[in-house]
Amino acid sequence: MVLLVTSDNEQFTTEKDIVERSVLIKNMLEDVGESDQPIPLPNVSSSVLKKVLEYCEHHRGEPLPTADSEQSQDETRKRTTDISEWDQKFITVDQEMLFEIILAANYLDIKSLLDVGCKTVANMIKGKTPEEIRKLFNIVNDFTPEEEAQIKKENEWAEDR
Amino acid sequence: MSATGGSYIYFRPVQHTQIHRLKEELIIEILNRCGPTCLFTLRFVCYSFCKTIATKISCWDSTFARLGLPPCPSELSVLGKVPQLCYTNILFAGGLCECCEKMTIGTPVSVSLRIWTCSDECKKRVFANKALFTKLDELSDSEIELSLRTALKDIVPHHPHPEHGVLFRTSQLEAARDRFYRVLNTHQIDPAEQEDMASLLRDWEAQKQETAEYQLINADFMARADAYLANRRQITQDNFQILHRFCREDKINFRDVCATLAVRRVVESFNMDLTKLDLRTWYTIRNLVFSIPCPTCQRLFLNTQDMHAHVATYHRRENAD
Repeated sequence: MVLLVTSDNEQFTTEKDIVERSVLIKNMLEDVGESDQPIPLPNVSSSVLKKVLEYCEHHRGEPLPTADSEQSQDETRKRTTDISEWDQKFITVDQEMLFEIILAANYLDIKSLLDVGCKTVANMIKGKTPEEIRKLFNIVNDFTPEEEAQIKKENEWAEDR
Repeated sequence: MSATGGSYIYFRPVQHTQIHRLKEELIIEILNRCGPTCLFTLRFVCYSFCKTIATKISCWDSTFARLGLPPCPSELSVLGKVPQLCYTNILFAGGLCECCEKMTIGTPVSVSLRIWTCSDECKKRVFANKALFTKLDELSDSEIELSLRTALKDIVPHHPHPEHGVLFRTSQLEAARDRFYRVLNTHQIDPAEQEDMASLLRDWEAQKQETAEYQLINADFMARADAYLANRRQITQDNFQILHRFCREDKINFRDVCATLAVRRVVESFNMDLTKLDLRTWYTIRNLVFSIPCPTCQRLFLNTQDMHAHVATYHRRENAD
């Protein structure tokens, strides 16, 4: 069993083969060896870690990417925008949690979870106008009128849609 | 962050959003999973997205690879624009395909390459169109493109016509197109794609055999379409000359007018109706070009720089009061 401590000092006890989906934790465990010492995760809060562990538990037993296959798998992942049914349900969370999961997946180095998060954001953007995207993510239009005119000029063919 | 204009300093607001909390490498990870249309749309959203998309070519490479296209030729650049923009322009300029939700043909490059990038469903619909196969043997590549567009009108209703907006860029893209073909010829296509291409061509040949009898029936349709297109080409040329004359008389930059989407839409509707522009329409169009009002006297200007210069010259005392 492995003991994890989150940024808000909550402790999670979980099985080694679940938590080893995170390359960061796997490397830590290999470096430290057998120990009862808790692993501190200062960049992950308890609510996010709960979700991350739920993901890892569902995908336990699936082969972990090796160094050789990692690049080709990475390319394959980018080539498709499909998300499996379970992952889709899992990632149906509010926007704050979605970006927290992406940040945590990046920090913990869980490539497949990062991929699911990024694909979800890409799918949210798909088919929307710039104004709709701004509204979706609360983004302020920070272009000067000159910059906006310049981009419009560059993209004028795409404007014909 | 600030941007300096001609007569003012602009302080760019800091974005306090969830998505802007992500590091640039994570933003790129998301962009890697977006299609070309999304990348174009995202450039309009905010300054940081625009900058990342313009400078990080990995997101473009991913989107081209996902569509099974060769990587963007590095020397492909028209008028100093980002090569990836030009490459996307060559392949997808036009609009969103109603059928398969990919960008449709705009600039005549290669029919087969364009169809190759489309979905199977779209391929089926294109191959099922009898009119398309009437003149394939007789026509040159660009003429095939024209007849394809004419035939596809009902499949892709919002498809822009070749004269509109593309004409003045086509000549500039000629050299880029040649370079693109050279790169495409040397590109190693993987066996699966080669097989796909071969089966596509076999289907094409089979369809041509089956549709031979329609060649005669459709001859009249093609003649009428050719006459319309020739007439429209002439009207388009005339309208641009009229527009150029009006601009000269009113001392307005013709290129700025042509780059204004709203103006081009008006001219396009005149071209489609085979009608020439008149002075009354020009007065309406002028208001579309001059869209930035002076806060004091409401006079319209082309850009904020001109407006600020006007305020500094004519309203300095009023503003001081």
